[in-house]
Amino acid sequence: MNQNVRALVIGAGISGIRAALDLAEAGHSVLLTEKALAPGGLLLSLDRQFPDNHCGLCRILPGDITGRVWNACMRRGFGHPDIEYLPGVEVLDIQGTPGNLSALMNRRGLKVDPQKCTGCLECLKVCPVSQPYPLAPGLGQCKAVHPSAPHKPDNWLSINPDACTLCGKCMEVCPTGAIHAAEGNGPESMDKLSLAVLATGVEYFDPQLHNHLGCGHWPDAITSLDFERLISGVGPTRGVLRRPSDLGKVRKAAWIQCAGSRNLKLNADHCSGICCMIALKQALLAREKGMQCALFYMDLRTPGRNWQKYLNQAQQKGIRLIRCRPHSIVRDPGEDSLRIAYAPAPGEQRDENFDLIVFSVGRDPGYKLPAWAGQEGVIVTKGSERVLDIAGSLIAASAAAGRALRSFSDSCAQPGGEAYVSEHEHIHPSVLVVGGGPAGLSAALSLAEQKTQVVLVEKKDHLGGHAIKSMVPEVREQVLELRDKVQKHPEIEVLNEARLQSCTGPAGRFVARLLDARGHKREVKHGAAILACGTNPSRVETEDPRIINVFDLPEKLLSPDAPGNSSGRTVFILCSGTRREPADYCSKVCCQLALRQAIEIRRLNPESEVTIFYRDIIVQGDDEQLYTRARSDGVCFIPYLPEKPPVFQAGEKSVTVQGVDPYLKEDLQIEADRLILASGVIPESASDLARIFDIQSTEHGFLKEADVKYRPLDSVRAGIFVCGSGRNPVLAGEAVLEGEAAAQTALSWLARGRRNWPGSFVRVKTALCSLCAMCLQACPFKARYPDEHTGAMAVDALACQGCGACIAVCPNKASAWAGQEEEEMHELE
Amino acid sequence: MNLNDAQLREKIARGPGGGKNSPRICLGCGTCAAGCPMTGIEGFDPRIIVRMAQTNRFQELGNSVLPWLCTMCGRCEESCPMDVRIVSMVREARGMGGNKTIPEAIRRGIEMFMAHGNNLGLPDEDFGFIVEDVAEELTEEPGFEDFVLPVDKEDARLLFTLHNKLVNTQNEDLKHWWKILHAAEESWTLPGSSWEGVNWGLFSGQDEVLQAGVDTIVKNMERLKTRGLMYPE
Repeated sequence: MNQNVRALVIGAGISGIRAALDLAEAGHSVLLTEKALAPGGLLLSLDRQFPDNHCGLCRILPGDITGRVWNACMRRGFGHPDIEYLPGVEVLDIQGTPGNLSALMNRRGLKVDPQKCTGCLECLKVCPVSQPYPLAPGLGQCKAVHPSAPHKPDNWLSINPDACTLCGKCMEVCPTGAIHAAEGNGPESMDKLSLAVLATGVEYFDPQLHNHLGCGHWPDAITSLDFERLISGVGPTRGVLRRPSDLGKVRKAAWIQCAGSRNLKLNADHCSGICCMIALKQALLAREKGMQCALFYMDLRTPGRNWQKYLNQAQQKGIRLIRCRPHSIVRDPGEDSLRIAYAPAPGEQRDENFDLIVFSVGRDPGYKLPAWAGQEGVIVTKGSERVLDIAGSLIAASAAAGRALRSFSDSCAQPGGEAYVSEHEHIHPSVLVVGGGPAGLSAALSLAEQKTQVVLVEKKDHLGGHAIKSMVPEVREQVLELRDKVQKHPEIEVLNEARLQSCTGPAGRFVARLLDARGHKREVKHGAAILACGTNPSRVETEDPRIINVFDLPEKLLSPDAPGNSSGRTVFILCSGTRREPADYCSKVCCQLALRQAIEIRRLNPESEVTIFYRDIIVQGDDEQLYTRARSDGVCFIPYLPEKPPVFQAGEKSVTVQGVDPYLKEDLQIEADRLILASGVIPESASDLARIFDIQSTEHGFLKEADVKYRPLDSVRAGIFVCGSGRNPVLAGEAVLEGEAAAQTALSWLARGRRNWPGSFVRVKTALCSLCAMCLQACPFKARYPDEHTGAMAVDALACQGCGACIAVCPNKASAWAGQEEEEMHELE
Repeated sequence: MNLNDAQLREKIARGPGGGKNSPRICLGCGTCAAGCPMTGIEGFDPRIIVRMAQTNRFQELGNSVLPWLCTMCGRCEESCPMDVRIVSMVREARGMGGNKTIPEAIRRGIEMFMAHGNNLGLPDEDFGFIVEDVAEELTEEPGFEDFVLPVDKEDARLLFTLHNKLVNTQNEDLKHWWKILHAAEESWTLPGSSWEGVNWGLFSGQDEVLQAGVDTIVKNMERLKTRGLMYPE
């Protein structure tokens, strides 16, 4: 353990826990503070998460944690031997210099000692304070003393310091004296911190404060956060969907997207990114309970390789998608449901009644980071700047942990000890990075800057990937800077024009064989591999120079004398061939690229006309501003339905594009000087890599992670990690972040070599093993191998995750739980 | 008002209401149409108006009946998440059509106003007769025996303009106003000429008519040295 580094992580939501785990797994001592009394942040409210509608919070805990952590379900609490968890503590300020920061903290309010509390709840009866239920403010009131989290037993009570009047009645009535003013209440300074990670997350828009369409006025119009509690089995209605106003049955529910987002009147020129998927999930959950569900939206944002399928599934299950925004919500006299007025098509105004209306809320446009977030030595997770989904938050948190450690080692003359050199004989202390795009470059550099040897393998003769041609100068500069640093770093060996042929060996003792640029054979031993192979543009099959792939629109075409410029016409068709079979996924990069190009064409040629045909403009976060900018710059946007895409024909003088303007209900015929098609990206080398490294790939050939939400950059094989567009299409900036996060995940894996490993979950009774190799087939983690020494099948302790598949499949009962004989298992029954 | 094509584009890019909220920024969400009392009537939809403005078909819009179907109530603008100034745009579109699209009643009212200072074309003498007659009736009611109609009284606090329907068909309503003013002991005056408080230039989209209407009021205020304006339209 490297006790020189003392890290402070602020916020014990999923980001903070991830960052704290990464820092602790790397061998540092960590303080984790949380303003609330229960860890988990927003995820405390979200019982079910798409796409499988389960909770998987515990899956972020390290695989060897058994026995070291007092409770694995993080909804009930959190504990880790190397993390000091400080609940009920708010950080007010941070000052100092990296390596020597001091934090001003505040402990407040009364505390209930769970050791003494018997759960009699007498305190609830005498508490005179009523406050909005903290997890679901729209669903009613509770006392200042209340159960700290819905999944906790009754003797885990919280007292909200903001609501408590310190009247002391609860203390008087408590039969066991469990309630007392917390020791050391008040401000307190914590000194000699090496670094701090700010992971408090964003604040969510409260439509009640803006009386958005009547939210706050009608009890049955609630926020998406309230809905999570309403449908929760431990929520106020025990999971039965009832109207908050009269507990009447909910038959029909509507979701209204973009509450507090994509609204210039609220100064909210941003997309909150996750609300579309959350609303689909919520509607599907309600549908399972027999509700009729409608979703009012503008662009259904299902970015990346996974979510289009989820959307298709929602539609198949009968979720109505209505593309428009409602104007108002009213309750007619004598009615117990609410009426929404909306206009789905020009000249078509409808009224429809719903029992429950859910506002999909995202980032509060007024949310700002605290002033001390800019303090040197404080690293802010991306999830505290914008709303990210679970996987995105975890990736951003790991990247932040890595950045924190790197910035700390830069600013200190003596970085504390041999932090990342594995001495474990079983794990080779080096990493093979495959792919020299932004993800691979940033992974390699992050590892090298944390004193880990890297071999970077790139198929092409140069590093940087497609991003070095990016239209965004900052992206180009960032990637070029990464490339320079990688090429100069002594810990990194770059192999350009290299062809990988195989990778063998058990977890942590991998051997890759490849041909280098001159065709010479090379063997690379490595303890971990990061696969960052990226994607390529899919081809546009045409000989016509006027029909151009959006990825190929050369810079010269942006100049005034190019065809289509000056007073000419340019037409874009987005999702041309994607988001439908056989490429039923969103490539994520095309929308923002097309928007940038359209803006640029208009800027250079104010007289030219630019038309964009689109299905859904999928940009997220502040990239929404690109869309707003393109519209205000005079780019004409025309939505089309997948079953009726615009058609085009190349003629002598122009490319004729025919479509329909749905607002004017007019057939359009545009004689375009050029047609730009966004036909998406394909993961060309991913399936080869998947085969070489024996991991899974998706039906469309992307690298598959172990868990799409909670372990997004792990593969199912221990020691092999995936990141970048080859896993899931990402923008260049996100690829950089993923690279950093993958590096951190790999470092945690390498660091296992320094710890006492608890041993394998499974043991093999060698005398019984018949070498039938059925376990080899059954093991999803490739943790079984024939052991030359024993002559029996063996278990790779580092790769085994204890799933038990090998035990189930073994015909001779040669595989067994380690330390648990079959008889003992029977006794448990 | 005839703008050439380039001027038109410029005007649309700038957008009515100062430039920030050009119709181009419209997201097509239809919040406006959902709240509009006219959506669906003769195919009307605010989105059509905004779309035509977006796609440089402003003149065609001005020549059509669409801007005249709008009641200019402003529900659309109030709720528009992109803050597009839809009503101002409708007014401008009405002005684009010139005299030929303006509905007959409004066109004639405007002609009367430009010629006689009020939309009815009522001579000042007749106006005087009507209001004095109503004032006399008011003095017959208990409590208002001492009511004197302050026509063209200088140095009053308020200049009181009238909606033309009050001197036309709804004379009785005049009394309600005057009773309030009398009871409040307000210092006010009624102009003996150019008393019109309805400015149809607002609806016709003709800036010059709007200007003329404002001018008559300003002139009256200057002439009678009033400090404030009561504008009941």
